[in-house]
Amino acid sequence: MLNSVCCVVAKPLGVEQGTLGIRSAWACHQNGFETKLVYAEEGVWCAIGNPGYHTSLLKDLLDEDGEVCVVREDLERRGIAPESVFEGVQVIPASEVAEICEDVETVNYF
Amino acid sequence: MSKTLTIMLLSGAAENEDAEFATRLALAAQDKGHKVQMYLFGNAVNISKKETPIEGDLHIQQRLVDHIEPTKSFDRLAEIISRGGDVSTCHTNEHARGIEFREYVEGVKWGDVGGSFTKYLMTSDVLLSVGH
Repeated sequence: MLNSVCCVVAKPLGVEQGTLGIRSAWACHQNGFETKLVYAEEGVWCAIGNPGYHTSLLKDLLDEDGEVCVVREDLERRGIAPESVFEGVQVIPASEVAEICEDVETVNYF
Repeated sequence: MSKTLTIMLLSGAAENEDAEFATRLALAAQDKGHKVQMYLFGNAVNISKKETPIEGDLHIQQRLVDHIEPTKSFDRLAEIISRGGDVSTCHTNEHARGIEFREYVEGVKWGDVGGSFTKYLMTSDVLLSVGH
């Protein structure tokens, strides 16, 4: 049995895989798996509180104590200020992503 | 020792080689005596449905037909299931494509990420997501 999961969302808003990533994270979290959601690369565009389904599910996940973070360097490359990130999403350096991956039993890239 | 491999496939048969790779990997794992579970997510739901052939001239060059045919994954999916593989889909993604009503390849199960996929996790030794 796998008990812990990390979902990495690397696709921007509007690409289906990004939605699949947060839906997977939500499903795992709601079913009792230790779950982490990481926004990286183009996926950081999903973490800035745009209107629509993705942000509404992100809010639900955070409200239910989901662990969500976004990579600082990937924000910077796109000119997105860390202050723009949706409230509750942690801004982390890229070096921490490896530690997150080490802490879980499976990493899935969306 | 036999293990359980779960493959989350995100791509359909035509846009890249992921579906072909994933289905061949599943068969190879079964050849080695491992159990396989597949969750068809996103565009991968397209390979869960029986092919509906058309009659008459395809109006496709033969060399292109020859290129396309091996990439279709319906038959390999059916073989995975016939060997004891457990395959289910995301019905929401089927709905998004307007194909939820279509008949599944024999043995494919209607499913969802919250139910089917997380149940697979409970019995998995390895989870591999395939898609880009």
